[in-house]
Amino acid sequence: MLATGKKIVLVVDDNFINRQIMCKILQDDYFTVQAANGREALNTLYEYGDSISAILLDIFMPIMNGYKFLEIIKEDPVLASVPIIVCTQNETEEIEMQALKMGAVDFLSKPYNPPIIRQRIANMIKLRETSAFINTVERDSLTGMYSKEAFYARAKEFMAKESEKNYDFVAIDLNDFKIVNDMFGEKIGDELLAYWSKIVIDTFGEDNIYGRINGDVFAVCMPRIENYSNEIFTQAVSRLNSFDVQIVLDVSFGIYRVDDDTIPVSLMCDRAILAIKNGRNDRSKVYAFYDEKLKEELWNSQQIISNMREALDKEQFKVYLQAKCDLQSEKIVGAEALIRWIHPEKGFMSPADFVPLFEKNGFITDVDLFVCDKVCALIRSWIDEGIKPIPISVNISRVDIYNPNLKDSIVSFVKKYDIPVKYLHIEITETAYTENAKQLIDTVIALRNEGFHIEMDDFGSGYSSLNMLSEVPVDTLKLDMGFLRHQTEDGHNGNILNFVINLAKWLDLAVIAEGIELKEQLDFLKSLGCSYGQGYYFSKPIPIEEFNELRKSMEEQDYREILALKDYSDIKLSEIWTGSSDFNKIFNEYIGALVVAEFTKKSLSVVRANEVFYNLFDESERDKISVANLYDYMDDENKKKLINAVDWAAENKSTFNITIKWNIKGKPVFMRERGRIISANEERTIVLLDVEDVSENVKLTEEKASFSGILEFAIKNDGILYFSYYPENDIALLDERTAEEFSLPERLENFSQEAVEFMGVDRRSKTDFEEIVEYAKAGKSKSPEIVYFKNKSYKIGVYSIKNEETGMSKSVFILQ
Amino acid sequence: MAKEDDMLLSTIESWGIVDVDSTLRRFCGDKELFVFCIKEFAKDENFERMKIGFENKNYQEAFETAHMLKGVLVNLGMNGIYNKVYNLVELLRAGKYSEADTFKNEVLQDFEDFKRKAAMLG
Repeated sequence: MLATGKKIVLVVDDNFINRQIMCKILQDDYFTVQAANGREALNTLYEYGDSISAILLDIFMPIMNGYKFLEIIKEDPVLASVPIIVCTQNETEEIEMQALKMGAVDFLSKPYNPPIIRQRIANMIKLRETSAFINTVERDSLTGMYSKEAFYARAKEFMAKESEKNYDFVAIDLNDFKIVNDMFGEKIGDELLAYWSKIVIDTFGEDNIYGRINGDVFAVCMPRIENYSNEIFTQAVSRLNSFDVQIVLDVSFGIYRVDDDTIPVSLMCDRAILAIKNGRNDRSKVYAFYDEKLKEELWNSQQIISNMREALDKEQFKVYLQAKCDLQSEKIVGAEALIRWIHPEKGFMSPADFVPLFEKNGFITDVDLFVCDKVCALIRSWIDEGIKPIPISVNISRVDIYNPNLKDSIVSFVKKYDIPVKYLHIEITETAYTENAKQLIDTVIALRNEGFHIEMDDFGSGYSSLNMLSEVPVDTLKLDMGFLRHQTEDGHNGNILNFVINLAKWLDLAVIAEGIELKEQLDFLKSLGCSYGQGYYFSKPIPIEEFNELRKSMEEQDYREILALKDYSDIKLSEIWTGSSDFNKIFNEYIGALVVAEFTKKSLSVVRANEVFYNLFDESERDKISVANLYDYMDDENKKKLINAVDWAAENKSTFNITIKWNIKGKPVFMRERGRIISANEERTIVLLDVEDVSENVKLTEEKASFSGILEFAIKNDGILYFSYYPENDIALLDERTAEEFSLPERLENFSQEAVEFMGVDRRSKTDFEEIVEYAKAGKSKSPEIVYFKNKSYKIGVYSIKNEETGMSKSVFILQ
Repeated sequence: MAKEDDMLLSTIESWGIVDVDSTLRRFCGDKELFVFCIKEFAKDENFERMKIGFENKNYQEAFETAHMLKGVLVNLGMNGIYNKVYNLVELLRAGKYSEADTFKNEVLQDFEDFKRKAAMLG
């Protein structure tokens, strides 16, 4: 509504005369704005927002027709509530039904009948306002501030009372509030919000209008303050931090000085919120103003939104691939598919400019599925052209997880192109967990059940909960670039990186480090035992054609893949005996343990093995192995398990992958055997086995533990100490920093007995600490507690996991 | 100005192709706007586009332009031509192109007649 009190009606028709007639009919009651096609109408709507009271829409128009317009509007939560009346001229029922289905509320037919048109529009507007009123709950019960809609209404009245005055809107965002809720529970979170709301009102004065716009964002409408001092804000934040939670609370402030009182209050408030973003870009500022640059950004955003669908239809979006490489060999082992927008006029558009917008309006799902389709098509083309496929990961936005058809859509692409599911990896971001953990878990489980390999993207980018890792069954962790960016300057981050890589190994997850730019970073990651990486050091994201060229120029080397893909009949027996050709090359250069073994019912013997295989055994055993019956190293149960796997694989012409317990010199050693049948007859089966000692690293099942917050703390506060503990042997292994901190050796025996003394625990915390150790000893996890030492204190928690096969557990103590 | 509009309206009424009374109600009595719209409509490029559409056997183009003209015709109270264009649109919608091709001549002739008369309004 305008200052004149007239409501605004948007008239959309490509015919000038029809628009003139309609505007004439409405001129006494409404302020009309005109648009000649759907696109112009969208731009007008974005400008006026929901202050438009009704839209009169022609269906047949050039550039963007009425259907397209309805489709776009329906997806916008704010604009979808504006009533749209379609203007027709005795159309077919089909056309009218289609418009109704797409959200039109009524029809007007030509020739126009002025009294009927005015009445219908008045009815529609009234209906909308009534329902909006019903939906408006005046006050937020937690803070006592106005709820969003009520705030807009009251702020409008407030400004109208003394319209000659100038006003400001201040938006206030309590950062990381979600973490407070998660770490300390919703009750504490609510208390914090109530506490904070009192400080806000106290700071700006009781006579102003206050609103809780959403969860942790408040807004104030108040008479203009000409000069804001930093103290106003810093004092409020300082008071906030006296609330008893043990993290530093941070607040962002954004200010919009009302310079245009014709725009809706909701837009004024949005501009103050937008200004917050401006402030976040400059950490030196406590608060920030809305300015023209932001307005321009907003305009650009609107342009992007109105062009997005057309861009997808016209294939302006392109899939780029960034290589994932083995850090040791520096060869390509896979790729990540990334979306790029090559705009016909603007050229290359940064994903940072459009992905967040698409996430906001849900269009990202269409884009992600587009990428999925293209990636599956590419893999198909590789297979058709005889090029060895490599796995490609596609990004699934946190928004996609709300799409109930996600799994089926992805599966449909795999079926459409008839590609093995293992080549399509799915990347999800950890932020999805904070927003809707259950939905994410269900989605990931559903995708995994279909055989997809799941990669957790951006691990460590902010939240990184250990709980998340125990609940979301992922296969790979992708470490956020942030870990790497500062590691050369800051030892702490290197330490966290080390921790996360060890944690991943511990959980038997692969780790891909993202953002490797320098040789030093590569070397550092290698020294930490990280296996895979991607980044500009190897290759930037490049178009598919260039990626194919890159693959040709960089010989790929993933023998595991070669072994997995080789056709059943590909390896000739003669090659094994003579050790010739590419088989010989694979055998000798393979970084893992390989053995060709002959299975009969009574014996299992080595035909040929590489050096790495022999190195799995003690020197004294090595000579015996080559002539031994390997069944002698297993008990009956494990022997049977292995024979069954071999029989099954021979029958099904397939591979197998099992973990077998060997007894070597009386000690249990767990070996993972990945086998491929080379030949089989009734008496004997020749098998190629890839053997790995996984005693310390078998698939582990975690006991669920309430362990929220430790890693978040560590990352946020830039420091962490940790050490491993093995209850079976009662041995603790300290990392270098922890050993140094407590002046202890890196290996401590009889830990549970002597931990209190070893670490110098103060008598006040003796019982608490002993309890933590008891939990570890019992293979259980325990939430962090404060433990006092002679001249320092740490928050210490223990995180334990249990090997489901052996029943043995191990623990990590984390000190913060 | 008002006198001039009255005169022009009488002229329009004398053509016998515009229902001036009921249309003027649609224009909320705004005679000036009414006359202006009649003059503007006579210059509407969709006439020409429809004609070229038929000449090139581009029936989609012919359909779209005829459809658009139909909406304006009825709003301007040009009921005689409107009824013909209505039939033309339905023929095109039903894919009866040869019938439409024949029928369009009559419609085009009416349009030419209207444009000639409108040009004399000044």
